[in-house]
Formats: sequence, structure tokens, C-alpha cells
Amino acid sequence: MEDLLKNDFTAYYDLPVCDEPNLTIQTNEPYFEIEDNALIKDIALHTKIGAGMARFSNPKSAPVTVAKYEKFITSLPNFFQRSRKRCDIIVCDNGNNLILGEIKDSPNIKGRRKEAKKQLYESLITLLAVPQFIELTNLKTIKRCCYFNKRPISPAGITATTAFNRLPEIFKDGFKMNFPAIEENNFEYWEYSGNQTLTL
Amino acid sequence: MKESIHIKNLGPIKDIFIDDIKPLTVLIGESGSGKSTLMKAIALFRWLYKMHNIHSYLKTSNVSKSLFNFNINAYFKNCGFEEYLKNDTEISYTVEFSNSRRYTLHFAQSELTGTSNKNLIETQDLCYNKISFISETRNIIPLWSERGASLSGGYLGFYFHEVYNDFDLASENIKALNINYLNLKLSVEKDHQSIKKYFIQDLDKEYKLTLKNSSSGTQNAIPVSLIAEHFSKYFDFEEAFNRTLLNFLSKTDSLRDFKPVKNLGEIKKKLFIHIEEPELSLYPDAQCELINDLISKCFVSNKNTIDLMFSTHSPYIINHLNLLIKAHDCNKLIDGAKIEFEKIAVYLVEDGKIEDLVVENQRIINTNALSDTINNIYDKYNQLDKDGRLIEE
Repeated sequence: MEDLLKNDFTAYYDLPVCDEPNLTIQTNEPYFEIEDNALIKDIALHTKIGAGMARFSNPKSAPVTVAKYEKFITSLPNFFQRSRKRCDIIVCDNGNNLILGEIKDSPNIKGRRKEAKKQLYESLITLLAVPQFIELTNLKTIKRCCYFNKRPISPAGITATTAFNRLPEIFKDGFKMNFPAIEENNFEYWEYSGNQTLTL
Repeated sequence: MKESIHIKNLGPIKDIFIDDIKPLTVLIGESGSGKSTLMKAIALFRWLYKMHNIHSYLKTSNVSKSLFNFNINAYFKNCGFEEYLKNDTEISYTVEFSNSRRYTLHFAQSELTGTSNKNLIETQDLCYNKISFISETRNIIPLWSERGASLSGGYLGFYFHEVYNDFDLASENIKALNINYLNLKLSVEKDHQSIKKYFIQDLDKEYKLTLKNSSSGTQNAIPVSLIAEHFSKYFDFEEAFNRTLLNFLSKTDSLRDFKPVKNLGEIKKKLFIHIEEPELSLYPDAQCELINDLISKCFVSNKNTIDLMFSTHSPYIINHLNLLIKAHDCNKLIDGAKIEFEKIAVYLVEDGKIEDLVVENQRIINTNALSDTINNIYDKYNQLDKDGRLIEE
């Protein structure tokens, strides 16, 4: 994945080769969470429940690569990244899974979903222009664009947020939603909220 | 019968396509997002299709004179669409039957097509529909019913008079109706001048009020329940159809020519009810119970076939629909209501488009977007420090 982004992607778009270090994280943990850390402006991986924002179950302990797509785009020349929407991560295992992910855990949720969907769709279109990415998608059968939204915390004694967010407690697998523009490109659109976990 | 609609560039609507309008369709979205515009456009084209059916029935029944001139501009004016129309406004409404027989009414460049004699509906596909639109102005009904007679010539807009007519007709057939979700009973009585008076009484008979003096929630909810009850169990298609036909045939002196190609009994019939914000002024519990009442009347205890569409701002109602879907899956009634997952669609109307909220891998509606407001409140709460300063993201 790192080679695909640093070399193939940049070559396709006629950009200088990217020399940004640490663009990917490797793991084979059976459970991990990904955090988009706004303070250090980087993606971090955690194995402690609740430490991250996007939850993954990897029951076969398969080797998984998490590519920091937003960090990669940000490292490219300004003329290319200007106005270009980008999602946070690409998650790819050695099996059938290829996941584009956008992670949100910030105040002012309203409108974030809309923005996340745009980021995911435009990232997909940018990536699908690269022949080597198309080759990769041809090897995968589970192709998803995923919006991960961490459940907010409410003040002690206030149960309203918990009450309004009970649906993700009932359905642990995330929701596959209709998004024709993404489906036209043979990907699915999924939403994960709170404790909902993506099983690879 | 499958209905679809495609609307482009109509007021707040940029491009909305619904491929299969489900028997229960719910629209949510911010004020001004286009929910009402979408619902009014669907109701209008359903009405135009109804008139095209009657037109086709008469043509094939040997009546040569034309019943309708389909003056689309007048209908758009009724809907309040005058300011919404643009040069590139386009509306396409299609009804499709088995074997791919399709009938399309198409509006573009100020012209409606699909209603001419070349496009007559085949006898086997003829249907007689009734379209009802219960507008948000229904809260004026109690006052109007009392004062209307003294305001001869008063006009409160097309949609008000539509809902008032349905309310009036319903109260001809129904003289008493229990409104359990409000613990009330509605009664209709006539005074010495045969003018109808509407009263509400609590079910424990502790008080009785005229409807116009009842709470705003009651004044909004009673027309919804009364009209739904009327269409569910009492609406007489035959009487309505015959009245329409006889009026026309006698006006045009065509009675002798009329050789009915099909009896009404053989023609398919359906009611379409559209409601703007059924929950207006109701407490959340009552909102859910009103929905139970509506769903029960339209899909469980109904004698007539009904399709229901409503707009709402209530997250309670959308969440409650998930309960009614599960109730159907468990073959259980919740206050007399349940709804089949396959029969429901919920759309978020936003940015001139729609987003389907039906979850594809579960039998539920995704209500997460409706939790944004409460999450946002407490996110902002958490952002304020003890001195009232906003902690930066």
C-alpha cells in the first residue's frame, strides 16, 4: 500500500515521489482501534477498548496495513492537494478487505456526516484513477467506504445522549447505507457509530 | 403497480428521484429543505394521474367530449409553486404495471405531456384513486368550522380548503371517535340550524369543550385521526366516482353516449394520504401514539387500500418506526400498529436531494443522523469550561 501511494499514485498524477515517512502502520492484533489524533495530526493505533475511534475486529489475526491517506495527500504539492477532499485512512488486509475510512470524533457533529461522505467519495474517485489501485480492488471482494463516528460523552446524570444513541448498541455490525455514487464504483457505503465494530 | 417520480430544479429541490414510492414514505429534513415541496409535487402528479384515468375511462366508454384541459399552470399555482418554477424545471411521474406497461406524465418547459388521447390508459390498468393532503394549516379547522359560515367568500388557500373539505366529509360519516392517544373523545353534533359543532370530552367524562377551545396539540391531531379513520373505513369510492362521472356527463350532455367499458367494482382503487408534520404541538409520547393510530388505520384495520406519506421533524417518530417494524417481524401489535419493513421508506431531504435512511443489512431505519442535535448540545456543553469560555477543538 505504501509503495502504491508513494510511487504509483504520484507517478499517475505526475507528482514528485513522496518521501513522507511513516505513512503506514502494520498490525495483526485481533482487535484494534484507530485514532485520528487532532493534536499530533497523525493516525494512531490502539488495542485498548475505547482508546480509538474506529473499531476493528481481526479474528484471524491477519496482517493488516493501515495507510494514512490524509497525511499522504497533505504531503503532496499544494496545487494538487488544494480543494481535494481526502479521507483519513485506507485499511487493507492480505485477504479480501479494502476499506476507505473517515473518522470523526469532534464537537459540532451536525454536518460532519455529509462532509465525511463527500471525503470518502472523492477519495475513492481520486484513487480509482490510479491503475495500480484498480488492480488492487480487483483482488478484493469486500470493498467499503466507511464513516466511523465515536459516540459523544455527556455530563454525568444526563441520559439523553445515551438514549438517542441506543441503536448502535443493538446492532454491533455497522449499517450498510444506500449511496449510489459509491456503489457505481463497486464499493459499499457503511456507517459505524459508538461501539459498532468492523470485522475484517 | 409501481410509482416513481423524478423532480429536477423545483424550488429547493435540485434532483430527487424515487424509483419506487413505498406504501409508507416518511420525509425528514430541516425547515425549507424541500420536504413539503416534494410531497406536494407527488400529491399533484398522483392527482393528475387520477384525472388521466377518469379521462381514459370516459374516452374508452364512448364519451367523446374531453373532461379536463390539464391546465398545469393553474395546478402549480394551487401548490404555491409559481415562485419555484425555473426554465429547467422537470417532473416525471411514472406508474408501471406488470409486463412493463408504463404511463408517464412529464412536465418540462411549461408543458405537461402524457395526458393526450394517444396516451390513454389501457382498460386493464384503469384505477380510481382518491388523494388527500392534510396540510399544517389544519389547526385552523376548528375556528373555521365555527366561523366559516359567516365568512362567505373567505379563502385560506388551496391546501386548507382541501383538508377542510376532507374533515367536513369525514365528520358526516363519523359522529363520535375515540382519540385514545389523547385520552379524548371527539363528538360531532348539529345545532338547530344544522351547523356542525365539534366537541371533545375526556374519556373519564370529567369535562367537555368545543374543539376550538382545546389544546393546540388536540386541534392539530384530531383532523389527522378523523380523516384517516374516514378514509380507512368509511370512504365510499363508488359514490365519489359516480358523483364525478354524473356531474361531467350531465354537464356535457353525454349521458346517452356513455357505454361503460368497465364497472367500478372491477377497477382498482387506492387512497393516498399526505400529511404535513402529524406531530405538530404534541408531546413526544403522544407523537408515537398518534403514529400507532395512523399506521393502524392505514395498514392494519383499514378496509380501503391506503398509501401514506408524511413529513416530520420528530426523531421520536422515526425511532418509533423501528419498533413498529420489529413488531411486524414478531407478529405483534403495538397499540394496534405494525409495519412491514419492505413497505417503508424514510428519506432525509437535504441540499435539494434525498438520502435513503433504510439500512440495507438490517431491518431498521438509521436514526443516527437524528441524534446529532442532542449530541451537539452536549458536545458544546463539554466544550465550555467553568468560566464559560469555549475550549477550542
